[in-house]
Amino acid sequence: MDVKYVNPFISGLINTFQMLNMASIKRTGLAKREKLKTDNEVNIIIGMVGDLKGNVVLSLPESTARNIASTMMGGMPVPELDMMPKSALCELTNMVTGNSISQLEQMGVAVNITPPMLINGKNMVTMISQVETLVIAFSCNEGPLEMNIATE
Amino acid sequence: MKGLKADGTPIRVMAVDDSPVTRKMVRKALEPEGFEIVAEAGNGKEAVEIYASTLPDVITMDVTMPIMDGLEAAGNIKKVNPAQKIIMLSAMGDSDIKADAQSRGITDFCTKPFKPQEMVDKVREVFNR
Amino acid sequence: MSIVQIAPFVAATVKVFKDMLETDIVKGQPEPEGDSFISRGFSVMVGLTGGWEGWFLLDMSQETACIFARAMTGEDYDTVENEEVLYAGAEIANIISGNAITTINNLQPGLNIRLAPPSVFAGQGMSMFNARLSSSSVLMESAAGPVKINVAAKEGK
Repeated sequence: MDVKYVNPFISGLINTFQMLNMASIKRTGLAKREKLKTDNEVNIIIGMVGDLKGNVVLSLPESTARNIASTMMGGMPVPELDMMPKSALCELTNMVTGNSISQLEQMGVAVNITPPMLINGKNMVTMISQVETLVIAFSCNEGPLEMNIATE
Repeated sequence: MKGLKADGTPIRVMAVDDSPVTRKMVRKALEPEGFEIVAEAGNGKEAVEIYASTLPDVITMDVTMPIMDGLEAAGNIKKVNPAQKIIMLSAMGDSDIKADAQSRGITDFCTKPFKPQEMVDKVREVFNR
Repeated sequence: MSIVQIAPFVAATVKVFKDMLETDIVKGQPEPEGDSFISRGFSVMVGLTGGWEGWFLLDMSQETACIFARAMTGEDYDTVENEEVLYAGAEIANIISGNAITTINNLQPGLNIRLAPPSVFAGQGMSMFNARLSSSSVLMESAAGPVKINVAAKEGK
């Protein structure tokens, strides 16, 4: 993936978190994905078709997922990851990707996206698209999270 | 043995697909019939790069691949060698893809899924032409 | 009424299993699926954009996925941690969805559904959630175990 397309994804996530009262968000790493296994129980995927073709996956531990959902729902406690917090996390991913692709559009890159889908489970092995995956690590008061980008 | 030429030597095939499993499937279909897989490539750019040193009789070329897709790669190879025999493999029977391929001088297609025997017959037919 | 037509995906699944994996598959009846889809442990997802926006899912157990990978390459696999099992699942779902949307796009010119590349998730206690999509599933039986397909989509812009 062309490195100039990475920044819109980073700033798309940071912008969205700041808008949603998670101003402590910061980027903590950027690396190629080396393994198929993930310890993160919650993964929200969005597909992309157009000038960029691939998938973006927001991947987070369940604790971060519950904390973020709680912040998004005005501090309401989220002891379980049921329908409401799952909907909130899908909406968050939609906003992050929407923000990122509107920046890409300003660079002349046109992308259509799918609705988000949230996958949760344990001991997961994942392959995103079938290409090299870039992992951008972030951290905020709600906990650590990462964005996986795999475009052809 | 459909994979052998009149002189008894194998028909030489290059398999281009981004999925290693699909490349193995092509191999599994063709090798028992005597064809030789002389090269594999995981994207169009790789295929174009190794083409000159390989010179296969027939190329099986996936359409959708990262870095450089199969249509562009096939077009580039046809520019180097207009007589090169190339079979496009695709799960999409779109007329757009066929029209694009034809404009690059490629007229042979194999729609995924293929039965192993269909792949054997197709490669032989294209080689004979 | 739901925009989702699952029949072309069912037909494509039967054909792919028969031609490519030399496995007969017995199809069941379409049934509506709720917001949550419970996985059998191995799931391939292909995103849809254009005339439909949503997801195609191909789901099975990890053991079944290993058997199908073997049918494709002739090699033995005992775990989904082998990358080739993931590639095999991705390719099966890619071909099924490619065949199915070609049929649908040809029947409805202008719909222009397009596919994102497949992704594969395998794990324990796995479920998928998508909000506000109409979702339909068909459970099928094969000698290697049950296979379920699901299409969840809404009308695109």
